[in-house]
Amino acid sequence: MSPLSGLLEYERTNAALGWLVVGGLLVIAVERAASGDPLWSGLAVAVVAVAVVPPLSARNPTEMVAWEVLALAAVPIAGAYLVEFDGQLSFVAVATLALIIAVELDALTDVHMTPDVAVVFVVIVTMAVAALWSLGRFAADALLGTAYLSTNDALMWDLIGATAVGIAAGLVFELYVRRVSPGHALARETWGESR
Amino acid sequence: MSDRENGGQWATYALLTVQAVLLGLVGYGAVTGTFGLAAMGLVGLGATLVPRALARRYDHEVDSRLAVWIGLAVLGHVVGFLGLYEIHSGPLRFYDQVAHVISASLVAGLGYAIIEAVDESSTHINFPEDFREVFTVVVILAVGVTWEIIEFSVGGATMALTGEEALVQYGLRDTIYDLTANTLAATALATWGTGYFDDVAAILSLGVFGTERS
Repeated sequence: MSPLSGLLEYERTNAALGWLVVGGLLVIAVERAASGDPLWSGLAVAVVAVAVVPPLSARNPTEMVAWEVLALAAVPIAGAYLVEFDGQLSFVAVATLALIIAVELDALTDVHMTPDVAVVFVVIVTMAVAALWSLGRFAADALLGTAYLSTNDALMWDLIGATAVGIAAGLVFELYVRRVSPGHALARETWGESR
Repeated sequence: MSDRENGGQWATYALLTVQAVLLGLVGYGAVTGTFGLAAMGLVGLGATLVPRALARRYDHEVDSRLAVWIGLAVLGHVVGFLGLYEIHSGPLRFYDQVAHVISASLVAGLGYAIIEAVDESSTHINFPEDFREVFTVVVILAVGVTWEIIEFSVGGATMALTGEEALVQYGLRDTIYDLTANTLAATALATWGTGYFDDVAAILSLGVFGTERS
Protein backbone atom coordinates (compact mmCIF):
# COMPACT_ATOMS: atom_id res chain seq x y z
CA MET A 1 0.00 0.00 0.00
CA SER A 2 1.48 3.28 -1.05
CA PRO A 3 1.76 6.32 1.24
CA LEU A 4 -0.46 8.53 -0.87
CA SER A 5 -3.39 6.14 -1.03
CA GLY A 6 -5.00 7.67 2.08
CA LEU A 7 -6.35 10.33 -0.24
CA LEU A 8 -8.32 7.74 -2.23
CA GLU A 9 -11.20 6.58 -0.11
CA TYR A 10 -13.71 3.83 -0.31
CA GLU A 11 -16.53 4.98 1.93
CA ARG A 12 -20.08 5.66 0.89
CA THR A 13 -20.34 9.03 2.60
CA ASN A 14 -17.20 10.20 0.85
CA ALA A 15 -18.47 8.88 -2.49
CA ALA A 16 -21.86 10.56 -2.08
CA LEU A 17 -20.27 13.94 -1.27
CA GLY A 18 -17.75 13.47 -4.09
CA TRP A 19 -20.45 12.77 -6.68
CA LEU A 20 -22.36 15.81 -5.38
CA VAL A 21 -19.30 17.97 -6.13
CA VAL A 22 -18.94 16.36 -9.58
CA GLY A 23 -22.63 17.02 -10.33
CA GLY A 24 -22.30 20.65 -9.27
CA LEU A 25 -19.23 21.08 -11.46
CA LEU A 26 -21.03 19.61 -14.47
CA VAL A 27 -23.87 22.11 -14.04
CA ILE A 28 -21.34 24.96 -13.84
CA ALA A 29 -19.43 23.60 -16.86
CA VAL A 30 -22.57 23.60 -19.02
CA GLU A 31 -23.72 27.00 -17.78
CA ARG A 32 -20.25 28.59 -18.30
CA ALA A 33 -19.94 27.13 -21.80
CA ALA A 34 -23.39 28.42 -22.70
CA SER A 35 -22.55 31.94 -21.50
CA GLY A 36 -19.32 32.07 -23.53
CA ASP A 37 -16.73 31.51 -20.80
CA PRO A 38 -14.64 28.59 -22.12
CA LEU A 39 -11.83 29.00 -19.53
CA TRP A 40 -13.89 28.24 -16.44
CA SER A 41 -15.98 25.68 -18.31
CA GLY A 42 -12.83 23.87 -19.41
CA LEU A 43 -11.40 23.90 -15.91
CA ALA A 44 -14.65 22.44 -14.48
CA VAL A 45 -14.63 19.72 -17.16
CA ALA A 46 -10.97 18.93 -16.35
CA VAL A 47 -11.76 18.45 -12.64
CA VAL A 48 -14.76 16.24 -13.49
CA ALA A 49 -12.68 14.17 -15.93
CA VAL A 50 -9.95 13.56 -13.35
CA ALA A 51 -12.49 12.89 -10.58
CA VAL A 52 -14.27 10.09 -12.45
CA VAL A 53 -11.08 8.16 -13.30
CA PRO A 54 -10.91 6.05 -10.08
CA PRO A 55 -14.61 4.99 -10.04
CA LEU A 56 -14.51 4.21 -13.77
CA SER A 57 -11.27 2.26 -13.67
CA ALA A 58 -12.44 0.28 -10.62
CA ARG A 59 -16.01 -0.05 -11.97
CA ASN A 60 -17.09 0.93 -8.50
CA PRO A 61 -18.92 4.22 -7.88
CA THR A 62 -17.79 4.41 -4.25
CA GLU A 63 -14.10 4.53 -5.12
CA MET A 64 -13.71 8.29 -5.07
CA VAL A 65 -10.98 10.82 -4.37
CA ALA A 66 -11.34 12.34 -0.86
CA TRP A 67 -14.31 14.68 -1.19
CA GLU A 68 -12.53 17.55 0.61
CA VAL A 69 -9.90 17.61 -2.13
CA LEU A 70 -12.53 17.61 -4.88
CA ALA A 71 -14.35 20.40 -3.04
CA LEU A 72 -11.13 22.44 -2.86
CA ALA A 73 -10.79 22.16 -6.64
CA ALA A 74 -14.44 23.14 -7.05
CA VAL A 75 -14.47 26.15 -4.69
CA PRO A 76 -12.63 28.63 -6.95
CA ILE A 77 -14.69 27.45 -9.93
CA ALA A 78 -17.96 27.87 -8.04
CA GLY A 79 -16.65 31.14 -6.61
CA ALA A 80 -15.96 32.52 -10.06
CA TYR A 81 -19.49 31.49 -11.03
CA LEU A 82 -21.19 33.17 -8.08
CA VAL A 83 -19.10 36.33 -7.76
CA GLU A 84 -16.94 37.84 -10.47
CA PHE A 85 -13.27 37.56 -9.65
CA ASP A 86 -9.99 37.45 -11.45
CA GLY A 87 -8.44 34.39 -13.10
CA GLN A 88 -5.57 34.16 -10.61
CA LEU A 89 -7.61 32.04 -8.19
CA SER A 90 -8.16 29.47 -10.92
CA PHE A 91 -4.64 28.30 -10.03
CA VAL A 92 -5.98 27.04 -6.69
CA ALA A 93 -8.08 24.67 -8.80
CA VAL A 94 -5.07 23.87 -11.04
CA ALA A 95 -2.88 23.05 -8.01
CA THR A 96 -5.60 20.85 -6.49
CA LEU A 97 -6.05 19.14 -9.83
CA ALA A 98 -2.30 18.45 -9.85
CA LEU A 99 -2.58 16.87 -6.39
CA ILE A 100 -5.46 14.64 -7.52
CA ILE A 101 -3.44 13.60 -10.59
CA ALA A 102 -0.44 12.77 -8.36
CA VAL A 103 -2.64 10.62 -6.12
CA GLU A 104 -4.23 8.84 -9.10
CA LEU A 105 -0.88 8.25 -10.84
CA ASP A 106 0.38 6.75 -7.60
CA ALA A 107 -2.67 4.55 -7.04
CA LEU A 108 -3.52 3.47 -10.58
CA THR A 109 -0.28 3.41 -12.59
CA ASP A 110 3.35 2.34 -12.30
CA VAL A 111 4.26 5.85 -11.21
CA HIS A 112 4.85 6.02 -7.46
CA MET A 113 5.79 8.96 -5.31
CA THR A 114 6.15 9.86 -1.66
CA PRO A 115 4.06 12.70 -0.14
CA ASP A 116 7.09 15.05 -0.27
CA VAL A 117 7.61 14.37 -3.96
CA ALA A 118 3.86 14.80 -4.59
CA VAL A 119 3.99 18.28 -3.03
CA VAL A 120 6.93 19.27 -5.26
CA PHE A 121 5.00 17.76 -8.20
CA VAL A 122 2.03 20.03 -7.40
CA VAL A 123 4.17 23.20 -7.36
CA ILE A 124 5.97 22.27 -10.59
CA VAL A 125 2.78 21.31 -12.46
CA THR A 126 1.03 24.51 -11.34
CA MET A 127 3.92 26.64 -12.65
CA ALA A 128 4.05 24.65 -15.90
CA VAL A 129 0.31 25.17 -16.45
CA ALA A 130 0.84 28.90 -15.87
CA ALA A 131 3.51 28.87 -18.60
CA LEU A 132 1.30 26.92 -21.03
CA TRP A 133 -1.60 29.21 -20.21
CA SER A 134 0.56 32.24 -21.13
CA LEU A 135 1.58 30.61 -24.42
CA GLY A 136 -2.05 29.75 -25.14
CA ARG A 137 -3.19 33.30 -24.51
CA PHE A 138 -0.37 34.70 -26.68
CA ALA A 139 -1.31 32.33 -29.52
CA ALA A 140 -4.97 33.29 -29.21
CA ASP A 141 -4.06 36.99 -29.34
CA ALA A 142 -1.89 36.45 -32.42
CA LEU A 143 -4.21 34.09 -34.31
CA LEU A 144 -7.75 34.83 -33.12
CA GLY A 145 -7.42 38.54 -32.47
CA THR A 146 -8.23 38.31 -28.76
CA ALA A 147 -6.55 40.66 -26.26
CA TYR A 148 -5.72 38.48 -23.25
CA LEU A 149 -2.16 39.75 -22.78
CA SER A 150 -1.34 43.43 -22.42
CA THR A 151 2.13 44.21 -21.09
CA ASN A 152 5.11 42.12 -20.06
CA ASP A 153 4.74 43.41 -16.48
CA ALA A 154 1.14 42.19 -16.35
CA LEU A 155 2.17 38.76 -17.68
CA MET A 156 5.01 38.57 -15.14
CA TRP A 157 2.62 39.36 -12.26
CA ASP A 158 0.32 36.60 -13.57
CA LEU A 159 3.21 34.14 -13.48
CA ILE A 160 4.32 35.32 -10.02
CA GLY A 161 0.74 35.01 -8.74
CA ALA A 162 0.36 31.49 -10.14
CA THR A 163 3.72 30.47 -8.63
CA ALA A 164 2.74 31.88 -5.23
CA VAL A 165 -0.59 30.03 -5.36
CA GLY A 166 1.21 26.81 -6.36
CA ILE A 167 3.68 27.06 -3.46
CA ALA A 168 0.94 27.98 -0.96
CA ALA A 169 -1.18 25.06 -2.17
CA GLY A 170 1.84 22.76 -1.89
CA LEU A 171 2.34 23.80 1.75
CA VAL A 172 -1.36 23.32 2.56
CA PHE A 173 -1.31 19.86 0.94
CA GLU A 174 1.82 19.00 2.90
CA LEU A 175 -0.05 19.80 6.14
CA TYR A 176 -3.17 18.03 4.89
CA VAL A 177 -1.40 14.84 3.89
CA ARG A 178 0.62 14.85 7.12
CA ARG A 179 -2.08 15.75 9.65
CA VAL A 180 -5.57 15.15 8.34
CA SER A 181 -5.08 12.15 6.11
CA PRO A 182 -3.32 9.96 8.75
CA GLY A 183 -6.64 10.08 10.67
CA HIS A 184 -7.98 7.49 8.25
CA ALA A 185 -7.26 3.91 9.17
CA LEU A 186 -5.91 3.15 5.69
CA ALA A 187 -3.46 6.02 5.77
CA ARG A 188 -2.34 5.34 9.36
CA GLU A 189 -1.29 1.88 8.39
CA THR A 190 0.68 2.97 5.34
CA TRP A 191 2.31 5.91 7.12
CA GLY A 192 3.54 3.59 9.83
CA GLU A 193 5.27 1.54 7.14
CA SER A 194 6.68 4.33 5.09
CA ARG A 195 8.21 6.47 7.83
CA MET B 1 38.68 6.91 -18.17
CA SER B 2 39.08 6.98 -21.90
CA ASP B 3 37.29 9.10 -24.45
CA ARG B 4 36.56 6.04 -26.51
CA GLU B 5 33.36 5.04 -24.72
CA ASN B 6 30.89 7.57 -26.05
CA GLY B 7 31.28 9.89 -28.98
CA GLY B 8 34.79 8.74 -29.79
CA GLN B 9 37.61 10.91 -31.04
CA TRP B 10 35.56 13.55 -32.81
CA ALA B 11 34.13 14.65 -29.46
CA THR B 12 37.63 15.23 -28.12
CA TYR B 13 38.63 17.29 -31.18
CA ALA B 14 35.34 19.21 -31.14
CA LEU B 15 35.81 20.02 -27.46
CA LEU B 16 39.38 21.19 -28.01
CA THR B 17 38.25 23.39 -30.90
CA VAL B 18 35.48 24.98 -28.85
CA GLN B 19 37.86 25.52 -25.93
CA ALA B 20 40.46 27.09 -28.25
CA VAL B 21 37.86 29.50 -29.65
CA LEU B 22 36.73 30.40 -26.12
CA LEU B 23 40.33 30.97 -25.06
CA GLY B 24 40.82 33.20 -28.10
CA LEU B 25 37.73 35.23 -27.13
CA VAL B 26 39.01 35.56 -23.54
CA GLY B 27 42.32 36.86 -24.94
CA TYR B 28 40.49 39.24 -27.27
CA GLY B 29 38.35 40.50 -24.37
CA ALA B 30 41.41 41.03 -22.15
CA VAL B 31 43.39 42.85 -24.85
CA THR B 32 40.53 45.15 -25.90
CA GLY B 33 39.48 45.82 -22.33
CA THR B 34 36.10 44.11 -22.76
CA PHE B 35 36.35 42.46 -19.37
CA GLY B 36 32.73 41.33 -19.35
CA LEU B 37 33.49 39.22 -22.43
CA ALA B 38 36.73 37.87 -20.90
CA ALA B 39 34.98 36.93 -17.66
CA MET B 40 32.12 35.26 -19.53
CA GLY B 41 34.60 33.30 -21.65
CA LEU B 42 36.53 32.16 -18.57
CA VAL B 43 33.38 30.98 -16.79
CA GLY B 44 32.41 29.20 -20.02
CA LEU B 45 35.81 27.51 -20.28
CA GLY B 46 35.41 26.38 -16.68
CA ALA B 47 31.97 24.94 -17.49
CA THR B 48 33.41 22.80 -20.30
CA LEU B 49 35.77 21.21 -17.74
CA VAL B 50 32.95 20.23 -15.34
CA PRO B 51 32.08 16.84 -16.95
CA ARG B 52 35.73 15.71 -16.78
CA ALA B 53 36.00 16.92 -13.16
CA LEU B 54 32.81 15.03 -12.21
CA ALA B 55 34.10 11.90 -13.91
CA ARG B 56 37.34 12.09 -11.87
CA ARG B 57 35.68 12.96 -8.58
CA TYR B 58 33.08 10.19 -8.70
CA ASP B 59 35.09 7.71 -10.72
CA HIS B 60 32.24 7.28 -13.18
CA GLU B 61 32.46 7.85 -16.92
CA VAL B 62 30.65 10.86 -18.37
CA ASP B 63 29.55 10.94 -22.00
CA SER B 64 32.26 13.02 -23.69
CA ARG B 65 29.73 14.66 -26.02
CA LEU B 66 28.27 16.43 -22.98
CA ALA B 67 31.30 18.74 -22.69
CA VAL B 68 30.96 19.65 -26.38
CA TRP B 69 27.28 20.42 -25.80
CA ILE B 70 28.16 22.67 -22.84
CA GLY B 71 30.91 24.33 -24.90
CA LEU B 72 28.54 25.11 -27.79
CA ALA B 73 25.90 26.53 -25.41
CA VAL B 74 28.52 28.78 -23.78
CA LEU B 75 30.01 29.79 -27.12
CA GLY B 76 26.53 30.65 -28.38
CA HIS B 77 26.02 33.11 -25.54
CA VAL B 78 29.50 34.64 -25.68
CA VAL B 79 29.21 35.24 -29.43
CA GLY B 80 25.68 36.56 -28.92
CA PHE B 81 27.07 38.98 -26.36
CA LEU B 82 29.59 40.14 -28.99
CA GLY B 83 26.72 41.56 -31.00
CA LEU B 84 24.63 38.82 -32.62
CA TYR B 85 21.89 39.27 -29.99
CA GLU B 86 21.39 42.81 -31.28
CA ILE B 87 20.52 41.72 -34.82
CA HIS B 88 16.79 41.98 -35.36
CA SER B 89 16.51 41.40 -39.10
CA GLY B 90 17.85 39.04 -41.74
CA PRO B 91 18.65 35.36 -41.36
CA LEU B 92 20.43 35.90 -38.00
CA ARG B 93 17.32 37.43 -36.44
CA PHE B 94 16.53 34.22 -34.55
CA TYR B 95 20.08 33.81 -33.22
CA ASP B 96 18.89 34.62 -29.70
CA GLN B 97 16.27 31.83 -29.83
CA VAL B 98 18.73 29.28 -31.28
CA ALA B 99 21.31 30.02 -28.55
CA HIS B 100 18.48 29.81 -26.04
CA VAL B 101 17.33 26.40 -27.34
CA ILE B 102 20.87 24.95 -27.05
CA SER B 103 21.34 26.03 -23.45
CA ALA B 104 17.74 25.22 -22.52
CA SER B 105 18.25 21.68 -23.79
CA LEU B 106 21.20 21.36 -21.39
CA VAL B 107 19.05 22.54 -18.50
CA ALA B 108 16.38 20.06 -19.62
CA GLY B 109 18.99 17.30 -19.62
CA LEU B 110 20.02 18.22 -16.10
CA GLY B 111 16.33 18.19 -15.15
CA TYR B 112 15.97 14.72 -16.65
CA ALA B 113 19.05 13.53 -14.75
CA ILE B 114 17.64 14.86 -11.45
CA ILE B 115 14.29 13.13 -12.12
CA GLU B 116 16.13 9.87 -12.82
CA ALA B 117 18.23 10.28 -9.67
CA VAL B 118 15.12 10.97 -7.55
CA ASP B 119 13.56 7.85 -9.09
CA GLU B 120 16.50 5.79 -7.90
CA SER B 121 16.73 7.43 -4.48
CA SER B 122 13.86 5.48 -2.85
CA THR B 123 11.93 2.26 -3.30
CA HIS B 124 8.75 4.26 -2.63
CA ILE B 125 9.39 6.33 -5.75
CA ASN B 126 9.01 4.96 -9.24
CA PHE B 127 9.12 7.09 -12.38
CA PRO B 128 8.82 4.92 -15.51
CA GLU B 129 10.67 6.08 -18.66
CA ASP B 130 7.68 7.72 -20.38
CA PHE B 131 6.71 9.57 -17.20
CA ARG B 132 10.29 10.85 -16.83
CA GLU B 133 10.21 12.19 -20.39
CA VAL B 134 6.86 13.96 -20.06
CA PHE B 135 7.79 15.29 -16.65
CA THR B 136 11.06 16.70 -18.04
CA VAL B 137 9.02 19.03 -20.27
CA VAL B 138 6.79 19.97 -17.32
CA VAL B 139 9.86 20.71 -15.17
CA ILE B 140 11.42 22.89 -17.87
CA LEU B 141 8.22 24.91 -18.23
CA ALA B 142 8.40 25.55 -14.46
CA VAL B 143 12.14 26.36 -14.63
CA GLY B 144 11.38 28.81 -17.46
CA VAL B 145 8.78 30.55 -15.30
CA THR B 146 11.29 30.68 -12.42
CA TRP B 147 13.96 32.17 -14.70
CA GLU B 148 11.62 34.83 -16.10
CA ILE B 149 10.55 35.76 -12.55
CA ILE B 150 14.23 36.05 -11.50
CA GLU B 151 14.97 38.26 -14.53
CA PHE B 152 11.91 40.37 -13.76
CA SER B 153 12.66 40.81 -10.06
CA VAL B 154 16.43 41.33 -10.39
CA GLY B 155 15.75 43.86 -13.16
CA GLY B 156 13.16 45.62 -10.99
CA ALA B 157 15.32 45.57 -7.85
CA THR B 158 18.48 46.89 -9.53
CA MET B 159 16.37 49.50 -11.33
CA ALA B 160 15.05 50.74 -8.00
CA LEU B 161 18.50 50.72 -6.34
CA THR B 162 20.83 51.95 -9.08
CA GLY B 163 18.61 53.21 -11.87
CA GLU B 164 19.95 50.53 -14.21
CA GLU B 165 18.64 47.04 -14.88
CA ALA B 166 21.22 44.27 -14.27
CA LEU B 167 19.04 41.69 -16.04
CA VAL B 168 16.87 42.94 -18.86
CA GLN B 169 13.55 41.61 -20.02
CA TYR B 170 13.01 42.77 -23.56
CA GLY B 171 9.23 42.63 -23.43
CA LEU B 172 6.20 40.42 -23.74
CA ARG B 173 7.17 38.86 -27.06
CA ASP B 174 10.63 37.99 -25.75
CA THR B 175 9.26 36.34 -22.60
CA ILE B 176 6.88 34.26 -24.72
CA TYR B 177 9.67 33.32 -27.19
CA ASP B 178 11.89 32.26 -24.26
CA LEU B 179 9.15 30.03 -22.83
CA THR B 180 8.46 28.56 -26.29
CA ALA B 181 12.17 27.89 -26.92
CA ASN B 182 12.40 26.15 -23.51
CA THR B 183 9.45 23.94 -24.35
CA LEU B 184 10.80 22.99 -27.79
CA ALA B 185 14.25 22.28 -26.33
CA ALA B 186 12.83 20.12 -23.53
CA THR B 187 10.59 18.20 -25.94
CA ALA B 188 13.52 17.51 -28.27
CA LEU B 189 15.70 16.44 -25.37
CA ALA B 190 13.01 14.19 -23.88
CA THR B 191 12.48 12.58 -27.29
CA TRP B 192 16.07 12.08 -28.45
CA GLY B 193 18.60 13.19 -25.88
CA THR B 194 17.96 11.51 -22.53
CA GLY B 195 20.69 8.92 -23.07
CA TYR B 196 23.41 11.59 -22.88
CA PHE B 197 22.45 12.30 -19.28
CA ASP B 198 22.27 8.80 -17.79
CA ASP B 199 25.86 9.20 -16.55
CA VAL B 200 24.99 12.49 -14.89
CA ALA B 201 21.97 10.83 -13.25
CA ALA B 202 24.18 8.04 -11.95
CA ILE B 203 26.66 10.56 -10.52
CA LEU B 204 23.81 12.53 -8.91
CA SER B 205 22.48 9.32 -7.36
CA LEU B 206 25.89 8.42 -5.98
CA GLY B 207 27.17 11.85 -5.02
CA VAL B 208 24.14 13.90 -4.03
CA PHE B 209 21.48 11.44 -2.96
CA GLY B 210 23.97 8.85 -1.70
CA THR B 211 21.90 6.06 -3.23
CA GLU B 212 23.53 2.65 -2.91
CA ARG B 213 23.99 0.98 -6.24
CA SER B 214 23.50 -2.73 -6.51
